[in-house]
Amino acid sequence: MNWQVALAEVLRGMSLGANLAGLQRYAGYLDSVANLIDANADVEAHMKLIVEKLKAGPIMDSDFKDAHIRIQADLDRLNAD
Amino acid sequence: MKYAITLILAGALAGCVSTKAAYNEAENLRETAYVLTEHYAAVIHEAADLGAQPSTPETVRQALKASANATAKFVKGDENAVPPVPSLLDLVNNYEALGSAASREELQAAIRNAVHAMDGFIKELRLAQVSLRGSTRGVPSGNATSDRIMAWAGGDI
Repeated sequence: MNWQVALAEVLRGMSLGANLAGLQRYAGYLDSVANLIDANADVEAHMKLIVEKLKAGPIMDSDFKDAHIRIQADLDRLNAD
Repeated sequence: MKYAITLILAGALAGCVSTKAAYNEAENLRETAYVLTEHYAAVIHEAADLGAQPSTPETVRQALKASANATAKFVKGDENAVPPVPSLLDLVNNYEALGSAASREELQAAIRNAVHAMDGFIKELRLAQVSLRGSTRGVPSGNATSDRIMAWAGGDI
């Protein structure tokens, strides 16, 4: 499965009918996805490691939890006065 | 329709090789959720570094904090929220345990919420970097993608 198909899976629950409201929601989501991937060099370096991680084997709960710990540490750093 | 959207996204995403590759490498919803989680981890790390710089104005720091915290709950959950917000991992495990359409939709909705929240967070971060460094590198291009999609959709749908 390529990334377009993966995104299509994520989008499956959205209304893709011809009504304008549905199209606007869909377009807004795609715009958000495009912005996410508009990454800078530091983020790119991190995501390169994630590509290797995905290739190395299945993603375990502990992988998410490890990311949560790093996220919390940076949130604490950002929120510190 | 999907083919046209794929072409539009492929054009919009050119030049972001590793980030694009990570989303490309994800083969299921667990891996997609993981890539999103790690993507947020990378962005929040960048924001924390920026916030720690003495030259960062307090207004910029506060804006980054607000946007980072608003996004975090969609990625790692928030047990203290009312009602509590499950993490992407919680919803992945729920979907894998139940395998139901409802649990799948719940996970997909959470991923969409996380994407939208991260979109705002990344825009906030890039604007902060521009204001501090005077660089326009990496600044999101506003609604260009959605404008193109809407223009295209008006002709063919």
